[in-house]
Amino acid sequence: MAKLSKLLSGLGYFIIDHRLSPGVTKADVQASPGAIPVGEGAVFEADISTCPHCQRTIVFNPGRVRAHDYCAKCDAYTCDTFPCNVECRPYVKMLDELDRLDSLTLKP
Amino acid sequence: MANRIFSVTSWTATAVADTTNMVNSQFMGLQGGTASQRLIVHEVYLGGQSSSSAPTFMILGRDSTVGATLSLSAAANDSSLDPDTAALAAAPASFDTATTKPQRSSSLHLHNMSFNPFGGIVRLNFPPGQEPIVRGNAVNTGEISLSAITTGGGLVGSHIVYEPL
Repeated sequence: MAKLSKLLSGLGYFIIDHRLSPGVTKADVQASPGAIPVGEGAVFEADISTCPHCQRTIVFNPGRVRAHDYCAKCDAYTCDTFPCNVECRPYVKMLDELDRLDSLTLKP
Repeated sequence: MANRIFSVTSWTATAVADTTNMVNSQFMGLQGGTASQRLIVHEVYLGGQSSSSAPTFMILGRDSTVGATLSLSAAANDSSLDPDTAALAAAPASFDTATTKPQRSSSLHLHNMSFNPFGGIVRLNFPPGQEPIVRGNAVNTGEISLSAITTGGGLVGSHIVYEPL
């Protein structure tokens, strides 16, 4: 699935600025999933979004060729992690459910 | 509600594994002020202060053990961004010191910010309306922390801009 342009408005912003730093190499981050190697003198800037199901950030890597997973119910991109990419379980809905359970518990 | 900024002037981000006690003044924690208070996180910033190269892998993540008896060290500060902000009946708990130490969940990492604090800068601005939410003060949902994982030791100054709802 191609990127949906309407979803790319109002994105967040992520920057790792190593212009004045020796930076981090690929070898450094090999054992750290999700880490982005930004070398000496380099800057990494990317749009980000948040998975509606788990609230992890989704970094829109300009070099990515695979399509991002998309939830039609949330109308948002989801992270690549199971089960976020296969079923719709909004995080906010889960919090609302906790609120509802709390209110039941507090009743005399 | 009004935005607040939780900042720490200078701290050493020593690596601590998931589900392991953090060390005072080596993390930033944010916890709801009541069992149902919600906080949303707008921004995370880390500025490197190390005097030599020290790749440091920072994780913003939810905590599977929440801190108790919380306080701010001398280097930490929490204040409203707007001077006219009224005090809340239940203030959110921002902290970098705790008697019961928080532990980062192994499965609820929100963002990896690996950088080199020898001159490096990291900034993360969440998209409006999609900010991570901290709800209450229970495990897994009621606390987030910023700390180093697997590789650390860098000296950093940092802040988290958040908003109690």
